[in-house]
Amino acid sequence: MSAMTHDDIRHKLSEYLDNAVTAEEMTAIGDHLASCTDCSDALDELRKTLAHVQSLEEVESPPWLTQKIMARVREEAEQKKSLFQRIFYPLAVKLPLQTVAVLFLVVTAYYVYQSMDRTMPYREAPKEYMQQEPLPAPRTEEEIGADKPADRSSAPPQTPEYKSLDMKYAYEPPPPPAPAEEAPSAAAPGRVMKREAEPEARVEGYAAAAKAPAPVAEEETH
Amino acid sequence: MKVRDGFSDANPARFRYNEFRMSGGTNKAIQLSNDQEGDGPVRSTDADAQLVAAAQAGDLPAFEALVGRHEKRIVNIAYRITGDYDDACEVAQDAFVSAFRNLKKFRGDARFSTWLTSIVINQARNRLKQVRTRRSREPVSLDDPIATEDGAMMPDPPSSSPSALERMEQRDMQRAVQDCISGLEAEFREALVLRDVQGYAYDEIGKVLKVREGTVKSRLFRAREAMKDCLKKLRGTL
Repeated sequence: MSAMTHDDIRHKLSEYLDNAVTAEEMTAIGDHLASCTDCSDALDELRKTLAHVQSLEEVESPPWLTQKIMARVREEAEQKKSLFQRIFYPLAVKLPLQTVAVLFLVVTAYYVYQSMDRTMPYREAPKEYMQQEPLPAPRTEEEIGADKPADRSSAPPQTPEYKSLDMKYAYEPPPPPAPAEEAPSAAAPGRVMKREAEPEARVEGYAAAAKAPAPVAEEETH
Repeated sequence: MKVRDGFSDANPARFRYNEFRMSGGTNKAIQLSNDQEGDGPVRSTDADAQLVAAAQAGDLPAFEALVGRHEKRIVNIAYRITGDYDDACEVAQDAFVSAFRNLKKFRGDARFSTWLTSIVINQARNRLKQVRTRRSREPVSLDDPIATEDGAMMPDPPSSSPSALERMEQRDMQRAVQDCISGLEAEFREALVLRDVQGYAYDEIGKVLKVREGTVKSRLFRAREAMKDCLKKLRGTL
């Protein structure tokens, strides 16, 4: 190890006081102190300074401190516990409740899906029917009087598009065209077709409606 | 006589804890005999470790025993760093609550006392920053504000006139030493308090402050030199 300079030793005095130097350094510093009054004075001042610092009396902690700390600690522990309880406790109650809730949702969703499946074709068909099948104009009294049951049976069939809604008739060839009925005259004043006539056909089903007579406008009876 | 370790025998919390054990506490028996306690902040590691393990398992009386064993030392460290007793008590409370909050993270790599000391040093640092910020926002004298011509308040910072120094000289050495410690920069103050007031070893100070041992020595040298100059200035002589 190279010889320690005056400055090196000056900087090592703090460690020297704590006996935190190596044996070699201890010897070198001791030799230097014997010959250097500056360093020995500095060491003396440092020693006195340390004595003053170490003479500081300890303060007593206040008697309430432990209680106050523990009150805050208990509060902290309660908060932790309640958070834990909110999430996980009591599992014995929460798990069955959650299971029942999930089952209820699944069953409800299944039934809703099923009912939607059943109602979908019937919900769409009337719209199509109403759009594609123009209602016949109301007939005059003469036409009604001249109407015979035979004529009713020979009513024009439904359009193929309508029939194709039912799978039973999907590949059936269209029936031979019925004898053309006399085209109804223009709507007479005071005669309005009754919409209540249609539900009959709906109730029987649209499959049967293909062969049913064409809707007949009824005369308003008032 | 000065008790430098903070583990005095008359520790009510420890006695309360022993009573709890004797009266049928449900946890494993933890012996807290005086024989287990050595000298300095390093002592009672075994008892600390057992108490820490119990506290980590949710045993609040065990944590209370830890508080009782360390609170005096923690308050003293906080007091010497902040320079204010009330602040020190606040810092000590915050440090213990923080220690409890983070107790699960304590793996025993360092001693509990070292870990706790690093917490209180951090809390004290934060407190000093708050105090400094508060003071910087209150530059005017509140009791006797002096309005200048343009209506602004004239700053009234702490006086450094010779009369203040004379008043300082009239105080006792204890007060002068504390004032000098409070005048040190934080890193030097912490090193000085831990070494010369609390008697920590260099390596332990390094662990607390998370610096190398060489840095600890360097800081300590500069802190002691500054203390010497400060005391000579305040007292005229050492």
